[in-house]
Amino acid sequence: MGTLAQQLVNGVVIGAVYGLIALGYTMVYGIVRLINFAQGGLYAAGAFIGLEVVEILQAHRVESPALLILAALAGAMIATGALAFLVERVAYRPLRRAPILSALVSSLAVLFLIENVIQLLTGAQPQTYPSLLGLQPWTLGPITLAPSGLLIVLVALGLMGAMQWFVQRTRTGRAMRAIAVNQEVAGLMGVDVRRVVALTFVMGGALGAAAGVLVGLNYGTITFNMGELAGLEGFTAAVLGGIGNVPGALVGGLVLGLLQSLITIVLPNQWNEAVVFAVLIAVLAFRPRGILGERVAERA
Amino acid sequence: MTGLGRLPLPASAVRLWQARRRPRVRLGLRVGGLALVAGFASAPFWLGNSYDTDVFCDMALWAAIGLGLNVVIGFAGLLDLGYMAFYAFGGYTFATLSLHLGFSLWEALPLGTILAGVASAVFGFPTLRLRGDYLAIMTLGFGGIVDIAANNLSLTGGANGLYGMAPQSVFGYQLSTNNVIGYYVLALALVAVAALATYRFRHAKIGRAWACIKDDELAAAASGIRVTRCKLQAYVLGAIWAGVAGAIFAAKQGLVSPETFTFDQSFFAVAIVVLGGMGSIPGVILGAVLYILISEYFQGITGTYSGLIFSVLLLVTVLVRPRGLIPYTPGQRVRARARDGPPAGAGSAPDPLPLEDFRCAD
Amino acid sequence: MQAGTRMRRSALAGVVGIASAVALVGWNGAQAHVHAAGATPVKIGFANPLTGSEASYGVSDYNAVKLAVNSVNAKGGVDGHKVQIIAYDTKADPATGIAGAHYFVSQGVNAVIGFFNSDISIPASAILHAAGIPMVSAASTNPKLTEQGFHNVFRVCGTDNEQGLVEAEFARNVLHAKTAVVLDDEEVYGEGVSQFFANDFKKLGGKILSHQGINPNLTDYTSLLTQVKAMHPDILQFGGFDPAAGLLVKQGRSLGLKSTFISDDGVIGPAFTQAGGRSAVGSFLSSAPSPQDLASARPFVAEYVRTYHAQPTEFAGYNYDALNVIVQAIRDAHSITPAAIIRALAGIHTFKGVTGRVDFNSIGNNTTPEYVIYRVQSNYSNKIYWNPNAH
Repeated sequence: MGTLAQQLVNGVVIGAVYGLIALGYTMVYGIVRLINFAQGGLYAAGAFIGLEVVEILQAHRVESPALLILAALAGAMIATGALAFLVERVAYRPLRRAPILSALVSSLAVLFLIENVIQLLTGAQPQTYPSLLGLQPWTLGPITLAPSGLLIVLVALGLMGAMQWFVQRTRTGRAMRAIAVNQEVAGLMGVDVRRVVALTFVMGGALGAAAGVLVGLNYGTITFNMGELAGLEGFTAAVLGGIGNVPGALVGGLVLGLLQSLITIVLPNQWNEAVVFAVLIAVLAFRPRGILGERVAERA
Repeated sequence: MTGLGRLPLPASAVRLWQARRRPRVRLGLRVGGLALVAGFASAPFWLGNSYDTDVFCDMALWAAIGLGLNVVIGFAGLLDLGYMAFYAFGGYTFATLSLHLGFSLWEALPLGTILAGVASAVFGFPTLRLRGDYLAIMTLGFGGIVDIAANNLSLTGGANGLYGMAPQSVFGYQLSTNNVIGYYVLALALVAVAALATYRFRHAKIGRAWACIKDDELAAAASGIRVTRCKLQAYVLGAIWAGVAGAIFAAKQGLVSPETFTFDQSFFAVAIVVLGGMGSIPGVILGAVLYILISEYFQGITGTYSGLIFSVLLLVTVLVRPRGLIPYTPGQRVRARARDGPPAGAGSAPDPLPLEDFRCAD
Repeated sequence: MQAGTRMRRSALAGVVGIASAVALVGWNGAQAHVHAAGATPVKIGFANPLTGSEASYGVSDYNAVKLAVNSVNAKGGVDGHKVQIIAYDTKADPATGIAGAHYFVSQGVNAVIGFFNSDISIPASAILHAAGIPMVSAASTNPKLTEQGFHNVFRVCGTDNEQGLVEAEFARNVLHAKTAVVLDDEEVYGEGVSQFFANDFKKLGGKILSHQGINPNLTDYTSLLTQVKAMHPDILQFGGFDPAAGLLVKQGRSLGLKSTFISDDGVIGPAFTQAGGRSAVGSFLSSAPSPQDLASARPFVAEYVRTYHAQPTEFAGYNYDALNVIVQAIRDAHSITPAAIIRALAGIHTFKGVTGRVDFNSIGNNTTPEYVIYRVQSNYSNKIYWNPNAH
C-alpha cells in the first residue's frame, strides 16, 4: 500500500517534468504543426545555462537559495528563449513553405547541433547542480517527497496555467489561435504571422528551459544528451494529452509519469521504455487525438 | 552561372564550364565524371590497405541502406525514423541462425529478409494511414522498442550482442573479416542492384503512384490510388532491403550489437537521404559517401568535431539546397530528349512536365 | 532552360563532390606518408570513445596517455625513437571501433592501446591479431577478451569476474548479507560485473531478490527504487558507471532505502559523489587500488591535475601504464617491430607502473590488480575498507 502511494507520488513528479517539456512541443505544434525535435535540445541547453547562472552568482557570493533558483530559472528561460528565436529564424522560417519533411529534418539537425555544441563546451562530462533546496525530503507515513519534487509540480502547474491564460485570454493568444486555424486568413486579418510564430517558438524554448533547470535542481546531474530521451518522452506526453492542447500537455505528462511508475510494480525495469513506446504507438494508431483532443484552436 | 565569374577559378575551368553544353565537351565531361566515379569506387583496390577497404565497405553499405530508405522517404514521402530496426532484423537473424544452427549467410538471408518484411507489414499496416509527422514519431517508437528488445533478450545476446559467426564465402571465394575486400565487392553489388531496382520501381506504375501520394495524398486517393496499400508496399520494400543489408553488415563485422541500431543511426540514415537529395539515386549515394568521409576520414583533421560538422552540413543543405546536393527532378527522360534539340534561351519557362509521369497507377 | 540547367548543375555538384572526396582520400593517404618519412617514430594507436555519452572516460584516458608520451619523449624517446600517438574516436560504437582497428593496421602502428568498451575490444583484437599487432587493453574488463587464444592481446586492468567475486565475498563474508537486489546499466561492462556478482553471491549462499536493468541516460529512477525498497534487500548491487550510480543512491536514500550500496570500479570516479552527495557516503566500491591511493601513483595524479585541472578518471592510471609497458617492451626487445614487442610484452612480469606491478600471465592478463573494497568516507574520499588478499 505504501509502495503504491509512493509510486503515485513518483509518477506525479516525473509526470510534471514530462508535462513541461510537452508544453513546449504542444505550443509550437498547435500553431505551426511542426514536431519541433529541437525542443529536447533546448531543454538540455536550458539546464546547462541555468547551472552556469547559479555558478556565476555563487562565485559572486549570492547564497540565498530562493534567489539562486529564481535567477537560474529566469536566466535559463530568457537565454533559451533567445536561442529558440534564433532556431526559428534560421532553421524554421525559411522552410515555412517547404514540405513538412524538410522542417522535421531541419529540427532534428538542430537537436544534434545543440547536443554537439554542449558536448564541446563541457567536454562531455556530466555536470552537477548544487543542492539548493536542502537534502531532507519530507516524509508522511510511508511516502517521501523531496522539496524540489514539489517545486517541479508547482512550477509546472503555474506555467501551464499561465500558458492557458495567455493563449485563451490575451490578444496575442487569440492571434495564435487564429494562425492555428488558418495561417493565410489570419495574416489577411491583420495578424503579424511571423512575429506570433517567432513568439511561439520563444515560449516553447523558455518552457523547455524551465523543465531543464527543474530537472537539474531535483535530480542533480545533467548531461549533454539528456534531451534525446526526455524529448521523446515529452513528445509522447504531448500526444497522449492531445497535441496542441495546453492543459492536455500536463494531463498527458501525468498519465505517462503514472503509467511508467506503476509499470515498475509488475514489469522488470528494463522494459519500461518499451512500454512507453508501445503506448505512444497505440495512442497514435487508435486515438491520435489524445485524451483531451487536439489543437489549441479546436478548443477555443 | 553568373555567380561562377566571382569565384577564384582558373580561366580554363571557367571556359570549360561555359562550353559545357557543346556536345563534344559534354561527352568529355560525362566520360570524365564516369571515370572519376569508377576511380573512386575502385579506390580500395589501388589503395590496398585494410582500413580504406573497411571504410569504403561501410560507405557502400550505407549507400545501400540509403537507397532502401530512399524508397520510403524519397519516393513515397514517408519519414521513417526507425529504419535501422529492420537492419537489426537481418543482422540478428543471420547471427542467431549462424551461431545456433550453423546456417551460412546465404541460407540465413532469405529468412532475415522475410522476418524484416513481416515485421514491417505488421507494424506498417495500422500506422501508415496516419499523417506524416505522426508516422515519423511512431517509427521512432518502433525503433526504440526493437533496440530495447535487442538489448534485453537472451536470444540476441543482450548488450554483448552476438559474435563468433563462422567465416562466410561466396561462390567458393572466402570472405575475410580481417581484410574486407570481398565484402566490399559484395556491398558494391548491393548498391548496383539497389540503384537499378529502385530506378525501375520509380518508373513503374507503383513508382508513379508513390510520386502522386507524395505530392498530394488526397488527390492521389481521389484519382483511385489505394494510398495505404501503396505506402505499405514502399515501407515493406524498404524494410526487406534493410534486412538484406543488415545480414551482410553483420557477416562483415563478425558481430551484431544493439549500438548499431540506435536512434542516432536511424537519424544518420535519414540524413544521408536528405543530404544527397530525396528520391535521387546518385544523390543518396553521394550522401553516404559524404557521411562516412566526414565521420571517418575527418577524424584526424577535425578531432572530435565530426558530429558537429555533419549536423551543420545537414542543416545548411536543408536550408540552401532543400532538394539535396543532387536533386531528383521528375521527368528527366523527357527533358533529356528535349535537350538534344536547340538549347533553350536563358530565363525561358521550365519545360512542360510530361503527363505520363503524373498519371496515377493502380 | 531553368530545369535543364538545374539538372546539369546538380550533375556537376555530384562530380565536384566526388572529386573532392577523391582528393580527400588521397590527401589522407599522403598525410600518413609524411609521418612515415620522419625519424621512424614509434606509432602507438589509441582508441577510445572521445565523443558520445562515454566520452568523459575516453578523454581522461587520452589525457593520461598524452602525459606518458610527453614524459617519454622529453627524455629523448625510447631507444632514440620518439613516441607518436595516433588517436581514434570509437564513439563507443562497434562498427566505428572495428574501422579503427583497420585504421591502425593501415597506419602501420607498432602497438595499440584500446578499445575501452569490451564489445569493441573483442572483435578489434581479432583484426589486430591477424595483422600481428600487439594490443594492450587498459579498460576492457570482460574476461572473454583474453580467452580467445590471441598471443598479441594483453590487459593491464583486471576482469569483471574477479571484481564480481570480491564484491560477493565482501557482501556475504564481511557484511553477512543474506539478500541482494542487483541492477545493471545494460552495457557490456556493468552487465558483466553484475552477473558475476549475482552468480557468486548465490554460490556463497545468498539470495538474489531481483536483477533488473536501467537506462543510464535517464535521470529518474524513483519508481524502480521504490520497488527495490519494498523488497528490503540487505544489499543493492549496481554494475555500471558513476553518474547513474550517484543518481541511484541519491534517489534511493531520499526514498528511505536502507540497503548497503555496493558497486564497481566504474563508480570510483568523482561523478559518483558529485551526483550522489551525502547519500554516496558509506557505499562500498570494488576496485584495484586507485592511483590516488598508491604512493607510486601520486606523481602521476599530481601531474595530471596540474596539466588538465581535473582528477583522472578510474582507468586513466591503467592507460598511463599501458603506454609505459609498451615502451618498456620496446626497450627489452631493442626493436620496434610489432612481433618483437609482442614477444617482449609476454615477458613482462615485474614492471612497476603507477597502478602497481604489471605481471602478464600466459593469456595476457595482469595478475596484479587485486581487487579491494573501498568505502566512501564522509569527506567524499574513498578509503580501502577490506582487502581480501591481506588475510
